[in-house]
Amino acid sequence: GTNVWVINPMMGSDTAQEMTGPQADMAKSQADFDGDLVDYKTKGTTIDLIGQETIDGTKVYHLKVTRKNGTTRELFLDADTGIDVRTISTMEQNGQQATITSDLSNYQNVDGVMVPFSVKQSLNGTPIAQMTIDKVEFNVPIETSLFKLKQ
Amino acid sequence: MKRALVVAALCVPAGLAAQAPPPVLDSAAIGDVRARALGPAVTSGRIAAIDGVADNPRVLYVGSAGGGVWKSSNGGATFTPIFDEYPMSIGAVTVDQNKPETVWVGTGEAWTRNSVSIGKGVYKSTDAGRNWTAMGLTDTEHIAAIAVRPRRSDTVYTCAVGHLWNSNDERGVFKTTDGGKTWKKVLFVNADTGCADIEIDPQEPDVMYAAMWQVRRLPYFFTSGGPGSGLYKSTDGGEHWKKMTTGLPDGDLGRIAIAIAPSRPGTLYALVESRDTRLYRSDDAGESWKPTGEGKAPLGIRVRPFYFANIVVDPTDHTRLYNPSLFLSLSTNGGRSFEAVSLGGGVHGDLHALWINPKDPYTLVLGTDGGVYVSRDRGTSWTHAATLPVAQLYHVAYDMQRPYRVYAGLQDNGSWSAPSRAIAGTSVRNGDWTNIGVGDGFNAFPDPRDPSIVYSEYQGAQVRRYHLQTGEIKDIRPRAGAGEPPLRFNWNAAFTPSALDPSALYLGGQYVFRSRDRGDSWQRLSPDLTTNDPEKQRQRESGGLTKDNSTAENHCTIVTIAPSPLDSQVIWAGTDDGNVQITRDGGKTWTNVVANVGGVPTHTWVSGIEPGRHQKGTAFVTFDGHRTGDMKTYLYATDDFGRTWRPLTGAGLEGYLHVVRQDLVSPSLLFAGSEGGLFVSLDAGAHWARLTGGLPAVPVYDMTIHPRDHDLILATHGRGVQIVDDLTPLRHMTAEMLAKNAAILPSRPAVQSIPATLQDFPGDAEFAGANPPEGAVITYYLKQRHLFGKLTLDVLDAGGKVVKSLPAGTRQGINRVYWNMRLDAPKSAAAPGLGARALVGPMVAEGRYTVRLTSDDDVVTGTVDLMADPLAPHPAADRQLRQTLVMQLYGMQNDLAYLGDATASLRDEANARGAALKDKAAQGDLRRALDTLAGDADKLNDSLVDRSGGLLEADPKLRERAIDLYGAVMSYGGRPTVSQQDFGAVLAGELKAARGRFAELSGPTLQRVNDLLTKAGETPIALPSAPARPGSDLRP
Repeated sequence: GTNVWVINPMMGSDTAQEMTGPQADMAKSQADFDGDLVDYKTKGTTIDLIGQETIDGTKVYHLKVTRKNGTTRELFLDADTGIDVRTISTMEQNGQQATITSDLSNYQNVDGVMVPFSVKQSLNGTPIAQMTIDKVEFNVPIETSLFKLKQ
Repeated sequence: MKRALVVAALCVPAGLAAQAPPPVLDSAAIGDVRARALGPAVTSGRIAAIDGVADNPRVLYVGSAGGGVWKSSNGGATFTPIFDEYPMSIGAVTVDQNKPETVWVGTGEAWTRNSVSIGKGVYKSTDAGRNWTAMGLTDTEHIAAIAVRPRRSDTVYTCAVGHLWNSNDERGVFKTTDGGKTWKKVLFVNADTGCADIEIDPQEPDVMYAAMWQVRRLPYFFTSGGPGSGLYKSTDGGEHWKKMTTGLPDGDLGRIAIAIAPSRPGTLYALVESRDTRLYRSDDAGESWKPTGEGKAPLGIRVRPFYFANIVVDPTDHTRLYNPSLFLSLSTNGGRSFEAVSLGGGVHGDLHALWINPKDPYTLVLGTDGGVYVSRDRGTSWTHAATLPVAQLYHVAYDMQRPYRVYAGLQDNGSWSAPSRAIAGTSVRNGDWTNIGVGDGFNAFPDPRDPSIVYSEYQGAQVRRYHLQTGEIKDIRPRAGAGEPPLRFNWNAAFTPSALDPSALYLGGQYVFRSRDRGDSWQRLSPDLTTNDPEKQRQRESGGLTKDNSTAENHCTIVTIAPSPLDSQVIWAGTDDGNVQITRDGGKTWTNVVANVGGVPTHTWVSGIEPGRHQKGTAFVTFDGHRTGDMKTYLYATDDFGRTWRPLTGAGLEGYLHVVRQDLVSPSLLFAGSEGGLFVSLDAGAHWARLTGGLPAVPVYDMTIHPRDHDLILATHGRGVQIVDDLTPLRHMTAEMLAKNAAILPSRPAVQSIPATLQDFPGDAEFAGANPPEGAVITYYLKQRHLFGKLTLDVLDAGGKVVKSLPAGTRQGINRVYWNMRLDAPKSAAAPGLGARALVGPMVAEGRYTVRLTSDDDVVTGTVDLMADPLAPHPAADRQLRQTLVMQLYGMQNDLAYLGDATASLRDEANARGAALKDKAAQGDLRRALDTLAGDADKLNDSLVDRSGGLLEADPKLRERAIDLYGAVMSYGGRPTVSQQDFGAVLAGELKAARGRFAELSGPTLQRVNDLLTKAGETPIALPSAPARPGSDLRP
């Protein structure tokens, strides 16, 4: 898709708002279900190896992904298995730099794809969300109307 | 990378990832056993360097003396630490104004007071402080300045003081032309002389000036100045240098500060320490100099050049000079005269850094011994940055209140006390700190018998008894009697209560003193325990060119007194000149046992003694030789009162040591505080690991273990008080356990306190010391990070029923998961109003719960204990009554959620069916029945749920009134009021009536509709099924 919209009940709103700017860019990049590494050349993405590091004692490869649209993301891959342990996205929000760190775990094999069933997120180092996923299904038919901007 | 590759990589057998590391404690295994910063930031701490971004003056970088580098992106309203992986002592911070994303940091403060820390060279960031790279010069130890050549970013100069305590060659001026990859030493005088300042001409950058400074500290003496000092100039970008002498004083010089007038670079000022320290001015680019005033130089110019030498010229006016010193003074006539700048009365003295916004010279940012201040009016008024917790503590103590309070002495910021956690709100704030002593604070502790009395001391054993209720302070320092030799007290004199006798206080001079009457009288408990070497007792002559008799070099004194907690007759004393003394008969006889230690150079400072907590013959001793340039780690233990000693410096322990503690419960659990952080050993010193969670490699000067709450309380010299909450898990960590894949570890019982509210809105510009996380702590160990498969953490009640499932932590090492001791929040019927009081579930009953950690191939269990708040006075029967009412109201909400949602569903479905009826049927029985169902459902729904907009439009119905009562009863831990109990009954009656109406609606009324629908060939309307929820007894 090309347009991003959001409903934010926490701001007392029950109607959809169009989203623009860096947040929209981030949402769009999240729509790349295959992840940044799959077919990265075709997508126009460049990947740099920052180095081998540890996260809480776990050895990881630290990669920096720069997408075609200029947005970047850092990936930390488990050195033993190659799976994503952590991702870091940085974006400007209200003129300030916001760094969102996601720790991924509880991977399960769903139709041959490893999916993290637990995601912990922090914003500038402060925990903001802990997501536990009960069930993942791929290629379930979805009405196109679901993606229409609801006014 | 192709997807096939990704999947293949994921199919690596688990065995490969599980290659067993040897079962030795490391930083990762300590895991979530973290330190939390309590502050204080109300006083902040010493700031050594400040720089800003000229083109974006909202961005400031602040280098602290012992707490790392902090960045503000909002002109100083808030600060974030950006250098916590690196040495914490900062000498220089320089933004490359050509490319402001590039920031240089020189580690190792250059304001070389007796307590100064050391650095490990130069660091560089090219992304505005997010990532850092070490750029060498690791043996410089102290860096005074870094200068980037204007318009040529890769050419940078480092001005290194070098070693303070001994000679070394890596000092002077270093130049790089490749952005720091390689350095060339371009100005060097001798191994005792380093660089104290450097300035580059902003218009002709081949022209530059450097101040060379000969300086030496010894444990007992300080010398600023000597033949090595001098002012130098280069005209070829630092390749060659010429010593400038014309107009400067003859004889030895000391520390020199240089300032170029940015608006007229041919004009320079130099503050030159000599026998007649004063300010000089040159108007010919440094070739010749003239004193700027007549008579004796102003105090601000000549006081303590080693600590204050600093001149800053206004960016737009070459005659306007600021002199940050003991106080801030200003000259508006090119240095001919100085006047004090108004500091508004509340600005800390002892200034070390001043940054003036080049685009707006009315904005000044000042670095002091008490943190950062910002002025928007050229110094008339100031705002304190109250967000910088970089206090430098010497010692810390606790009391037995609930929550316990901590007591700490701070470098140049007096002594302070604060609760270890705030009862109201979620953080210990600046206003929670109480000032309990003045000067440089050292030992401060409460009277064990009277919490309204606090003892404190400032430099040289100025011991004081502070009466909290009246504010009266009594000077209780002992003085020498007639014919007695003068008393000698260290800068940081030993001062401690007895562990066994609540009436006894001990104070260390050259003798051990004891008082049993709160300091009103003192008895000598020992002879002179030091070497009493007259050569090391020359404090009055100390300072070099500028005398500096501050007690900082007092020597041949007792610096640690350690009374045994097991035997009142056993007392240890350690001296700054290397004696380890013990008495086993309450002070009648003393034995110096240091000769038995072996392996430590003689006269090495005895920085700490820990009396054995489990055997009275045991003691642990740390030695600190850094004041003679010996940076080694010395830690020894004895089990036979000092006859024999063994080293405990096993692998992993680093830095010169200040303190060691033995755990109160587990004898083999040791903690060591070094200049480079906190270290933990599980095996009595054979192996050590640095605790890295929440704690940078900051100097740990002192620590103590709270005997009731089992917290480790740290006095850091740069990051204030730090608390490691609950040592219980570490006490149960063993090598055997480290080898397991997973294990639950015990924690202390969790207190079921009712959270207190705090209604205030302080904004962001205030530091908040974190409370310990609320709730019960579930602690477990994972040998490696959990990545694949399920990992679930359940809490089960005594009956084996799961009362709560929690997201499990997955990190390697110790994980700590916080359970708020509550059930899930009640289900609430859909409504516009949020019903905030219903967003939390009820607290579970006190008692023991089982915790169970389940992975795909492993199950481990343990327990967690919940206890009633010992501070709360509620009898068990009252707590039970409350719990019963809360659970009724909890169930009521679940019921109401179903009733509300079900009535809305029936109404909507009935309306939808009605709307879909064809014309012919639209007027028939079915239509009427549907209308009746929809109307009745809507009416019932309206009586249950507030369908207005909520907030100010609220029209509370049964749901809202139940939520309100639920919140009200939950917010107090004891007996609900009669009114609350009665109202609970009223609500229960209304709910019963509503259920009756719903039974009618969902029974006969719905049945009538469904019969007609079936007759018409339509599917009947289904009644939503009630979800099973705790407390709900409603079934359709």
